[in-house]
Amino acid sequence: MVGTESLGEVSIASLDPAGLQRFASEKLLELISAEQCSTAWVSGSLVERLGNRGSDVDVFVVVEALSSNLPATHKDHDHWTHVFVIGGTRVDIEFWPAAAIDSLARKLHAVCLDDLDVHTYRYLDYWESEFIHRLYVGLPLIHESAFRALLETFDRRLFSRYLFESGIRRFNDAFDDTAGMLASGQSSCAALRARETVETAIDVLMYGSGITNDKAKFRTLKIRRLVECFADYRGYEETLWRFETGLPADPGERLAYAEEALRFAADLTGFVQDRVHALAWTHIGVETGDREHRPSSLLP
Amino acid sequence: MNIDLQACYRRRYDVRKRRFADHIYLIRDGSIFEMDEFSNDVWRLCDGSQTVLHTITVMKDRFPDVDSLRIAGLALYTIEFFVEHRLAAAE
Repeated sequence: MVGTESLGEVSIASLDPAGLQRFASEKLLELISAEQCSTAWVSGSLVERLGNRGSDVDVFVVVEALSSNLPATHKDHDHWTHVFVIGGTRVDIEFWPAAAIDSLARKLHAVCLDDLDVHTYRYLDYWESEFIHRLYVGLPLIHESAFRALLETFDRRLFSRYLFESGIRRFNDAFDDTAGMLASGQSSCAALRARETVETAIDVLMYGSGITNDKAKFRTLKIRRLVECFADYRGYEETLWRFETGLPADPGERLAYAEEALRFAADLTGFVQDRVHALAWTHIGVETGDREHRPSSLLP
Repeated sequence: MNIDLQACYRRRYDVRKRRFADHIYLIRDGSIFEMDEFSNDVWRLCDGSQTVLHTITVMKDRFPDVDSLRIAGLALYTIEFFVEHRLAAAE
């Protein structure tokens, strides 16, 4: 059993992605043999360089079946997890049967995004979209060719479109709420909901820009990453901060704040929808002329 | 309705656009208006800083093979529609 250990002077959270890859590979092979799994990868916010000292290391392992010879501290119906702490960092090793992953890939493939009457919001459970994202940004640990083959089974463009449509629906809800509150003079509710409308519009921008990490807690880091890659996002980052930090105390000013927030958010989502449509999901803001799909995470 | 060629029109704060497949809609307070690509282009130019005259010029440049008067008429009609249905207003 692997318990709480010291990693000497090295903090796991400070490792670069290649260091995390080496660390995770060593720890995994202490627990199971390479023959026990089809492939495995390390992922999560530390791999994306969005994490911090409190972040977990997430390792995903594909197995033929869940069997008693696998270590596990939690047993869910479809996957098992083995958790341990090392050097102050929590490590989650998740064991997934190949059939469950195949089923998820087929579920994604079956999503209907071209019919307004089909409700796709939350079509994928939270853990499902997180699993797909973490596969996209994962670094292989064992059997790399099998890892690459697994990546190919998940339609990246379709997943981006799914996240985008889900983001648009969240934006629509927030926008319509705010407009109704404004019409009724509910200034405090309108101002707070307007701020959420801006946040969802920024999420739509990020989905439209190729980012498949949908964690709100990293919103400001993700937009910063986009600004570092593409300077034309700077205005959106500045505007996000202005609305995040500019909630007025005066009720009359709150109404003006909410109106301005709605204008910004509607203009942004209108622009992004036009762009992704025009570029057929090859993503906006690409200055190199590269028409390929962008990576799911813009690593520095 | 008289549209002033020197006026600048701006999208109202309570209108959002929804693009779905090949359809483009404007939505305000439960009312839905479908747009084509031409009216969408005019919509984008209603940002409060472009005069109607400038909008007409831009649209003429986008459709150089179409009769200029027809383009101007269509652009004016589109802006009128936006104003009549409280989707946009003069600044």
